[in-house]
Amino acid sequence: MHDQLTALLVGVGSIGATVALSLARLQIGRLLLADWGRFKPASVLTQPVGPESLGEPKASFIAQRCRTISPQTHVEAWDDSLQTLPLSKMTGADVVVLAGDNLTVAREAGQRCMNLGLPLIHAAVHGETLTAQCRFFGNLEPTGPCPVCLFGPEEFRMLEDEVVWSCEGHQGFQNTAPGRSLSPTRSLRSLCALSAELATLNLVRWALELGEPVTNTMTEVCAYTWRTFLSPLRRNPTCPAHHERWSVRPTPRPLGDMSAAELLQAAGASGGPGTLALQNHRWVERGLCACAEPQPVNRFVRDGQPARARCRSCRGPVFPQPFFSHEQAPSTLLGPFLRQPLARLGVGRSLDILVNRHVLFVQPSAVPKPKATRNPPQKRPRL
Amino acid sequence: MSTPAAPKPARTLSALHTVDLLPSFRAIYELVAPGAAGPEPWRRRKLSAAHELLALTQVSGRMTIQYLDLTGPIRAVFTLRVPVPCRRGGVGPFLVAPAAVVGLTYRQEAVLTPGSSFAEILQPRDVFHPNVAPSYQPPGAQLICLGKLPAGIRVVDLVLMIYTAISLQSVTYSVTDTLGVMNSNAALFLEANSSRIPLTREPFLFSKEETQ
Repeated sequence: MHDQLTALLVGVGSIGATVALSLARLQIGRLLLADWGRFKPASVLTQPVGPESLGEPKASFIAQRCRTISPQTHVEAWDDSLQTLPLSKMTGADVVVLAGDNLTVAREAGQRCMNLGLPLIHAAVHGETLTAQCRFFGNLEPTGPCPVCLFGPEEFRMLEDEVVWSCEGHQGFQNTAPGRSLSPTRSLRSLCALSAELATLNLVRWALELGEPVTNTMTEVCAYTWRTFLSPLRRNPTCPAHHERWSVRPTPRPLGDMSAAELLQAAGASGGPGTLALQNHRWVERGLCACAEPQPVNRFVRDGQPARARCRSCRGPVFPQPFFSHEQAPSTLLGPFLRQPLARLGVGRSLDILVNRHVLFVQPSAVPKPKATRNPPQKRPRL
Repeated sequence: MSTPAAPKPARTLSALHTVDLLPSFRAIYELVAPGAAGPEPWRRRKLSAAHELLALTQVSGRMTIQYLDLTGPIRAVFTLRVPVPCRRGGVGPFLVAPAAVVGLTYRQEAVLTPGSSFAEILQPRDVFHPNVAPSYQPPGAQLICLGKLPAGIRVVDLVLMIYTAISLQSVTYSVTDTLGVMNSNAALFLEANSSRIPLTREPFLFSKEETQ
């Protein structure tokens, strides 16, 4: 089963890099590594890298090491944030391993995995108590637990303060971006490695159905007492995350050739109102330029980019007007553009589009392969 | 037997949910409420926010709602009776407009994440305010900086903050504050003309009887 397994790794730092190398040694089928960071001098103290890695992008550097260990594993690197990773690149994964350094990425990874029905293994450490943790969110049903279900008041405060746990210790404070707060992990290389191997072993147990089911459980090992704790993970009924499951479907034709009306019909909108959402784009109704009055735009525009249209009067660039820019484009706003090919509306080379908030259309090659039928969870003999 | 007295309209923001909407405002609520989409907790929050926003409009007499949409994020356009500092191109005479048209977007993420909502002054187009991005510099949107907003802030609290910000009752104009100052020219102008601050001392909710 390993040579058919596809794993996505979110965060390739102290814990994530160790997981990646362990999965490469298991010679799994495909490995996708996602991390926007680069190695710093303090990285060599906790991460499985040497001085030659300084300044290198983490995902690409570790990906190359994985290829060296296992040439038969197809390894891909995404040297950017999870938020920019196309959803269609996740739909082919069998499992996601989260080893990030902040709660924002934990929330994002949890949300995506919940929506796509992907098992999520969250590996973490608590340095002060020398505890290694591994949470396994099965995501078999949208009613199951997610990482945000476990957030308490302290976690929401850290989310608000955009706390980042750093391996740089107290030396890293001067490198903090404005508006973010840095908190040292107070962890050790050994503890991070323990957490990483906990995650890897739980992944193996899940993939091969060994021992008691690991889905929706949290495993903790305390290096002070060497006690192991196994706890169930439960859904928080007041969890503010979106506990919704998307349906992933292939587009019958290239996305750019299709119209919004066709997609809405394919999603079962039946002529009623609907929405379209293109990742990292907005539907821009109006834009602003040097002229006194806003200009019509009416196309999808990539976040942070000016709209392509030039003002007819001043010939200057037109920037999206925030209030008239929509992450979810209502079909009622698209109006006369509903039947135009999406390529003419700025869809370009996008690989996926979310319709009516629950149907994700992807290129046929990105449709998730049918998952092998698993036996229902039952007691198994202890090895 | 005397009939019970009719409930008096709430005069504080914390009691807006108890306000009985007048027919005209009730009609707006019933028009937009069916369109509120999304998970049930988010739907309830949007409906509650819409009710409070309409109640605030009703009791304050300071706002006119021109547009309200609950299908995705909460989107509202309202005219706010508030003195607005203006200066065409940043160099013309300093004028004070009597009202502002504000576009407010409140996203579902605002429940969890700070800074996920925003307010934009749609009219007038030449606002001259330290905490409002100038229209005469790209990208040209007059976004209002309200500081780091806590997650889960209410829509009506945002409206109050917008009022106090525009009227200079609450303003950051130290040019060394790079996060809060979005128009350094306006900040320098107010540093040199601090007697103009604030443009009004009227609280958002007031009545002539209370001020006499």
